[in-house]
Amino acid sequence: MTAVSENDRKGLIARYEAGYTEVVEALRGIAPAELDWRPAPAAWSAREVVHHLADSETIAGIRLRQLLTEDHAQIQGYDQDEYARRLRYADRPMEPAMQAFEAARTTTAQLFRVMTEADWQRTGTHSQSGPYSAERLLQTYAAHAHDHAAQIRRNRAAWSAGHGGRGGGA
Amino acid sequence: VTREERDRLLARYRTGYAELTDALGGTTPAEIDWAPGSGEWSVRQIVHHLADADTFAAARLRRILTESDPAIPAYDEQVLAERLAYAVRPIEPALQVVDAVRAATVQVLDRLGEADWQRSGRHSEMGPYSVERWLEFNAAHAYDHAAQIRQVRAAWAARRPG
Repeated sequence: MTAVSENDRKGLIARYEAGYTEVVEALRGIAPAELDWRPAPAAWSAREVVHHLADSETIAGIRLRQLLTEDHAQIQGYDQDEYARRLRYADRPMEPAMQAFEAARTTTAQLFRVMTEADWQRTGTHSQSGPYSAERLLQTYAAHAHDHAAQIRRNRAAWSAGHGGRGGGA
Repeated sequence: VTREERDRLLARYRTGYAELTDALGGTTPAEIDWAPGSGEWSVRQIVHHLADADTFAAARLRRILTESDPAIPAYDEQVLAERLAYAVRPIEPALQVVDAVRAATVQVLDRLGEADWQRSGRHSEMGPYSVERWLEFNAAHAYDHAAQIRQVRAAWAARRPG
């Protein structure tokens, strides 16, 4: 990825900080049946998306801390579908996951706000995707919550259309 | 580890956040930033350490439960404290991390089967690292640091005139 200007970076940090609220908005008024509905057998329900956000966002926080404190940090990939199955995303209440997601973003944003130019260029190696800088991490996670909020909205629109609701109004 | 011992450890892990907030009750701004000696952590630094340590621990548990004998790399908590500005960051979000990470991880622990408890990874310094060993360590960790906070506060109170 190309280098990010300081101005762009500020925008990405603001988007990162807004990610939790975006997911809260996407979930507003969701019914229990809707929360657990999967658009396809292998696709995630909204509940599973929330647990994915909690785990992936806490792992992102760890990755940034590794990049900032280790030279040549090794960033380990993980199998997000295996997490969903083995960590029982489908049957766990989601409130602690929402809190973990919010708290991981708040503490990690504290770090984004004080990082120096040299910090942004610190780079480790991701086990699957190769060189992985702090700047790239910000680009990835600035989009991550918004992308999953959109996924939740698509689930809800499809659920609504299939249950005689408003149709695809999300 | 017997079932009774495991239940006792689970209860300690579950109540770690309450123990921490109890130790912090009524802390003043000056008190929270006082370090008892050179190189020792202030209360603020201890709280940030707990937030990061609990987060790393939660990720380690998830890796042990989803991968076959994963490598568990150690990290340097002193380097984290220095480079991640523990001394100056507000502690409220860190406290929320401890609360939420533990609550989410309790959900995972409550759903483990007997085979899950026997899973393990390889810690870079400690060697074989089972789910049971993970629980033993993390059940004690918040309590140990809550005790440390009480010691720092007692020392701070003792040094004040009158």
